[in-house]
Amino acid sequence: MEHCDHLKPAAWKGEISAHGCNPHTAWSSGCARAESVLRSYHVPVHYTDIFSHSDIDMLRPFGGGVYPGISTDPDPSVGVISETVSDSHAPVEDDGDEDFEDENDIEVNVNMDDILDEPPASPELEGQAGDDWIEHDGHKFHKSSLLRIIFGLYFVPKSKERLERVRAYTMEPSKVEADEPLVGVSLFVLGDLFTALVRTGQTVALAVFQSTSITHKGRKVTSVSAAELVLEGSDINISGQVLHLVTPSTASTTFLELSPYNSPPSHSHTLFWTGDFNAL
Amino acid sequence: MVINDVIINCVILEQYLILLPNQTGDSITKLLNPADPQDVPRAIELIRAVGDLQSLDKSAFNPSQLKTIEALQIIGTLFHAMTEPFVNAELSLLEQMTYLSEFAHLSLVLYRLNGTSYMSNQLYGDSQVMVKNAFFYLAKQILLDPSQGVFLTLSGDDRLENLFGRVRMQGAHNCSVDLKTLMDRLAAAMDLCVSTHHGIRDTVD
Repeated sequence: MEHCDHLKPAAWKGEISAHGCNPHTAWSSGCARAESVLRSYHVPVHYTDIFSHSDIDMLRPFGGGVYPGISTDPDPSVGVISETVSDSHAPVEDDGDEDFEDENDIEVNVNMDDILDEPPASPELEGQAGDDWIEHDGHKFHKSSLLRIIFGLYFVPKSKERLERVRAYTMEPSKVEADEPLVGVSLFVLGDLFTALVRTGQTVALAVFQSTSITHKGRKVTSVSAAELVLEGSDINISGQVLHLVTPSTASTTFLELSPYNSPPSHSHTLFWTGDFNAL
Repeated sequence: MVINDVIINCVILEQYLILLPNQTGDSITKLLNPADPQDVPRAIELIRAVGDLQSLDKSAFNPSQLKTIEALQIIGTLFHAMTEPFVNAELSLLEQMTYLSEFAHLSLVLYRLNGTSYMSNQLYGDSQVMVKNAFFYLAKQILLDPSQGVFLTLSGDDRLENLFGRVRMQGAHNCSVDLKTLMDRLAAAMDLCVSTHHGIRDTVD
């Protein structure tokens, strides 16, 4: 049995002949399934509305002719290849393909123009042009290494597109500490609520958060002891999302938002969470 | 990752995966911290474990946990629809294509709502192109010969890797090629595929 990433056709047991599958049926029943799944998780969705715009499809989710993830710049790796190909093919005799020949000429001309636009280099530099090394103050430096250092991450000899397509794993797995005894210790656990003062511009407000990550001495942990949390010297960072809270209004059914401009009425100390999170 | 306004990170995932009946602390640590980041079977196992979260009993959770678990279950459904067509050998072609369509539709809405917090532009583009190509493959096969099968498992790059291996093998220590040599070696590689009864599609062992 092959691993699931190398399944062979012979291992497939289901019925897969092409006439057994109508693409339209599959497409629309998949759409219906997605719609019912999202509805059941309270995400409002109307695919007919979305696709009623003529310039919106799966590859252009926002319309306007924009394809996310598809770069309009020429692929740098292809650029490098075409240059070397045009160089190495120069001495080869005419193969009779007129179109290809013309295309190549245009490319070469563009390159020539670019070169001519540059200011003339100093004689020493020109002398070193064919060399992989450059001399400075008696030391030799490797040219392409220099370029890589100067341009840092952005200098990639091969196509950078490829790597960008892989969402990065952290190379170093996060060190998971052995589970401490949970009995008898009051813990602050990930997902617990906490309050903190929040300042936006000149306004200060009290906000209720749900914690989304706890960092203890530079390590991500799932819980910290509540006793340690209050100590000033403990190196604990907690980040979270702001809960969207509303006060129940006795007079009307409209909800008052808890915000600096709209303080809750003093007669009620009950707050309701709408189930949403606020962005500041 | 942000789904439905809820931040989902590694630690949060760990907290909820452990509630699954078939997971233990050790198994989750292994899934989330693979020794080899390109361990594909393990990555699929993780994706399927997230898919299992769909079946979690929600009755004992408080409201903020419910919000998180719902976001996780949406991701679970999404991942399930994405991987099932390629790993569940019991599925019929219609079921496979329906899953892919479900994935594309879910992904579209999540991307429209959450943008790159949900998925990087590149990953979104690539995954949608994957679905599109699968449907093009089906449509092409219907036009060519509807009685033949459509093998979605063949749309990966295994075949390309094999071909590359055979071309490279012929060169031995002299593995660089010019165009003419490449053409000859490609032709020979195709002959090799057929004559070793592996078939180009590797149908027979």
